[in-house]
Amino acid sequence: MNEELKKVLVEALGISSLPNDKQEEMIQQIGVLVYQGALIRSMEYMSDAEVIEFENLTNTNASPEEVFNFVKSKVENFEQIISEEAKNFISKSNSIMSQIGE
Amino acid sequence: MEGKEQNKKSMTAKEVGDLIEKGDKDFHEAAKKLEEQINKLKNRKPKTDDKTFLKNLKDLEKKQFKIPKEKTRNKKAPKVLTKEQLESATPQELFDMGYSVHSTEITEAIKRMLKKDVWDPREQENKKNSSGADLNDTEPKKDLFNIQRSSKKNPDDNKNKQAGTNTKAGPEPKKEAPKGDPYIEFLKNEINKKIVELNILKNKIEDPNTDPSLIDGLRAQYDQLNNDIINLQNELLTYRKKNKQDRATHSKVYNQNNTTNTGNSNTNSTRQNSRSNPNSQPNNSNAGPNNPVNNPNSGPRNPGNNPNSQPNNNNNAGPNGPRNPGNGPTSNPDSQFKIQLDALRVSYTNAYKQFYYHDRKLGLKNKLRKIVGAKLVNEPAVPQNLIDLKTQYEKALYEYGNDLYNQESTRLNGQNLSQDQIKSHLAQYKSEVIFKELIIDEEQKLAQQKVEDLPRKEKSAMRSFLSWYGGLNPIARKAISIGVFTGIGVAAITTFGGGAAVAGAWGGAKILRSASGAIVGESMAYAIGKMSTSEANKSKEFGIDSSKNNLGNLNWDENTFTHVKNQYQAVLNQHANRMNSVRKKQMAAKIIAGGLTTFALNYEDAFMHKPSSEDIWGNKEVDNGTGTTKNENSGDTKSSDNKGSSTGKAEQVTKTPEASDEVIKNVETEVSSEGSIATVDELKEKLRAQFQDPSKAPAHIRHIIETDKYTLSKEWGLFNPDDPSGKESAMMLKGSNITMDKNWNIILHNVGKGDTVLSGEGAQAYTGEMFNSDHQATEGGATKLTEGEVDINQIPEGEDGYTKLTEGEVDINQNPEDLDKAPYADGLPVDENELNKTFWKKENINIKGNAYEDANGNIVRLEGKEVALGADHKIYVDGIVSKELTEELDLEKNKILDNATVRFFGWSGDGAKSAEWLKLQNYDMETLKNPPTDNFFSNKEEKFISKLLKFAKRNDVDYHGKTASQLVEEIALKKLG
Repeated sequence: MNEELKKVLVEALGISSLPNDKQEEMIQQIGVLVYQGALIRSMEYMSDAEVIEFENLTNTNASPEEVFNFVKSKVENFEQIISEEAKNFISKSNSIMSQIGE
Repeated sequence: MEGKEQNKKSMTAKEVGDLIEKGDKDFHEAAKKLEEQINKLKNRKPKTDDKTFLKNLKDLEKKQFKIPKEKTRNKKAPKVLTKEQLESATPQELFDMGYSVHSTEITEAIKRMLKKDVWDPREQENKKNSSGADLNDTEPKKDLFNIQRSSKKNPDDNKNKQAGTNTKAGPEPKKEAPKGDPYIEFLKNEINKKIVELNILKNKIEDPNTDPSLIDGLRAQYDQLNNDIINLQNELLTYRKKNKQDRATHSKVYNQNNTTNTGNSNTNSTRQNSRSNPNSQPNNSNAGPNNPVNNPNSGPRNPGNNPNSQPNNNNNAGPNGPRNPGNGPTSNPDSQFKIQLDALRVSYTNAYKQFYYHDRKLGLKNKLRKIVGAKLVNEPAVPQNLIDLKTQYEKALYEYGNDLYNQESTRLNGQNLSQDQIKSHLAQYKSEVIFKELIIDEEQKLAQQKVEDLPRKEKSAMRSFLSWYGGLNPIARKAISIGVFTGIGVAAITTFGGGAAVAGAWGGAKILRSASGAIVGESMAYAIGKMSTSEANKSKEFGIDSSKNNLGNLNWDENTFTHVKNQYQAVLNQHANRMNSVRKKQMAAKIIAGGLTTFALNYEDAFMHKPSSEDIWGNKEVDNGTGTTKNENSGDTKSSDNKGSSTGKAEQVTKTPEASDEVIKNVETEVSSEGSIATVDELKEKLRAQFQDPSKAPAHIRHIIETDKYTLSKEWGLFNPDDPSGKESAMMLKGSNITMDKNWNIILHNVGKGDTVLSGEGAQAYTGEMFNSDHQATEGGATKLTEGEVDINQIPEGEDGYTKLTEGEVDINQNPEDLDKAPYADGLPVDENELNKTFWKKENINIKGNAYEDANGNIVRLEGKEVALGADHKIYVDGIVSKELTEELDLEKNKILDNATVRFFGWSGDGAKSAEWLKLQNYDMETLKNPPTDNFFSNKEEKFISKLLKFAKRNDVDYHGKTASQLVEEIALKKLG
């Protein structure tokens, strides 16, 4: 991850006082939550057949690239949705954490 | 209190408490008897068509914990409880009477308040002094109202209580004479209580008279309770099995603290403070007034890694130093803020579900999916009540966070610490404990609930996704997380700094849309692995060069990067000459354009298709659009695929007269059952027969004729003898063939897999399925070794590192083929079923018939048996040390196990899973594994379990001496009791 990006991300999340490995651990946990949230939203744009196809894909040993490309092929805005979910998470986190202990 | 009820006989608090407890006991006893009956029935193996049996069993279970309707329905919330009401009140009824928004905690709190004389030594003392003066009717009523008000209306009151101003808020109730380990007793009690509530809820949900509008809320509560029960059960199991030593220590500490605190007259202790009390640390036993009695959070919830249960020597703040935030969050189930938060979360998720699937989804899904890719502005307006609930929920979040923060602050201020130390510890506490509890854990709960609330297909798909994610290797998981945030960009994140308000922004989506005008997904797409041939041109738009320059930055830290790089470099060194040129080009293109993230995602792929080190770290650029590589130093541009000089020149083909039908027919070659090399050899012969003078043949045909079959097979990707997993031969089904078209292009037609031009115009290497054909590919019958590898067929006896054989032992020099012939050593699989078997059994093939080197360096023949290999073991396959194979096997086993267990105990939908298991109790394992008919399991969850069991069966590999299906079966049997 770009160091500058990581730095601002850590600051925005309010976890800059943590050791590096803890920061990464938390970012990783957040990452999958964001990805999961984006997928839930994206499924709205998929037909039932496509949802089943997605399930079948993840039932195989599909690579992350294949999974990403599949959703992208069905949901044009998938990247944007991920971005929104990520920003949403950061925004919410920042909003709540900034009100604690102040 | 109602007027009539006020006239009834009053009772003491203790009497009330005893009645409640007696009611619970009676209830448990009745439940236990019913359970015994059920178990007896279950022990009788049902016939699969025994509908009467199943019906009786269900009826019996339904009868269990049945509550008379008149007691549970249509009761208006009384202001106080009468004796009669309390006599018959269950936790659920208390809930129904309006005494709480969260039945479990409030009910327990009521009980505690009513039984003060039992658990509070100070109150007990007071009662003795006052000659056993009973609490009159008004006292418990007042307490009850206090609880209600504090949980619903006035959080500030609670803060005051927690700060110690309310001396009535006593410590945790002390259980009367715990019989065994107190923590186990506590867990058992909690589990029992929750099971009772669960069954009450279940009956209520199934009751046809229940108001349908309440069903969703009841189900949400049911799922939440289920989750709680599973977590507690897991905690109990873990604690019992793995932490005997710590448990003993804890018990000792617990008892010491009990003794100490029994005589403790300090009235400043509060329940809230006991939450963060470090008294459970042995060297804090004299720390002060706090009483951790029966507080699970002061107990060894995770003694293995909970520093709270260990001597506190990790800071210099003195014996009562600040709690180590490294413990992770330890939420207090009694916290009013926590109760409020839990309740609001349920309300919020219910309202969300209502909006999403009733107001929004049903009406719009079809419309939306017709316009795939439409912008999200089509989303409907969010109803005000949902916005309000979200606001309230988030308010509860930071109130609870502040509560945690204040408690820790109060505790630290009571220690002998400087302000700087306190500030520092609080910052860390906030960043780690509070952040995890409020942000990550809460988000997980929300996400979990959202998945559970999804429609059937979507839910199933999401579960599958989570299972898939759980099976990914750590590098890939990390890469996904990186990708998610890489797409945002620094500038966008910075806009959230300084506490930017998001109030009113539903799900953040609307505000975010305006915040980010630019599409920022491209870099994320790289990171997640978007880069593919079809999108190669698009990649140029945002600059291959810049991505390449980011290669060194796209990592978490220097150490990780170096580690991964070294790992990869080691693989490259071992297998540098293994990869065919086309794959090399493609891989290099991906890595250079996609950066380390894509590289990481393709890490496993890279094991199979190795680009040279220079391609990845060196000075080459790859033009994805043309497939040519350019050496920066020389400036030379050359083709890197099979069109190159070594394998034939397409441009020369075009100058050659077209092949006649007769020649085409003569060249056609069926795939040989002896494998790809034999097939290539036959093709060579046929081509040679067509050209008495090979110099007149097109260049690429001439190349085929003049190149030996092994080299040719390798060039075409049909044979890869150095594959670390042993899958060296192309998998081709019976009926496949190699033909030549009129332009002299050589084409592989692989049944069910499509065509591949092996030589000529548009040639590319075969990249399809490979398999282990064992020894068929060794040249001249000898195993080909590379430097540093060990040939177990050489005479090792007496040499260092080898076991000297004695009489009766197996001679490892014996020809392996004589001992154990791998499947398909004599030919190719002929049908789909066999092919599938080969795929799923590949691990067994790799192990059997060879040898492994144990931790002491002894080489042990497997003789066809399977062994559980340690991490430091090496596997010998055909005489070649295959460390990579060992690692890959381990990875596979873990992945399979993860896939199996995450379905049951993973972090998505534990509650629902538990419900599934409850339903599955109607069937024995045999029925689960082999349903008599395809539609035997009409319930979707049961189908799901059956599917999982099948999955486990076909993934049978050894894991710690057990196969995956054995493990799943064990889990299933355990669950089924």
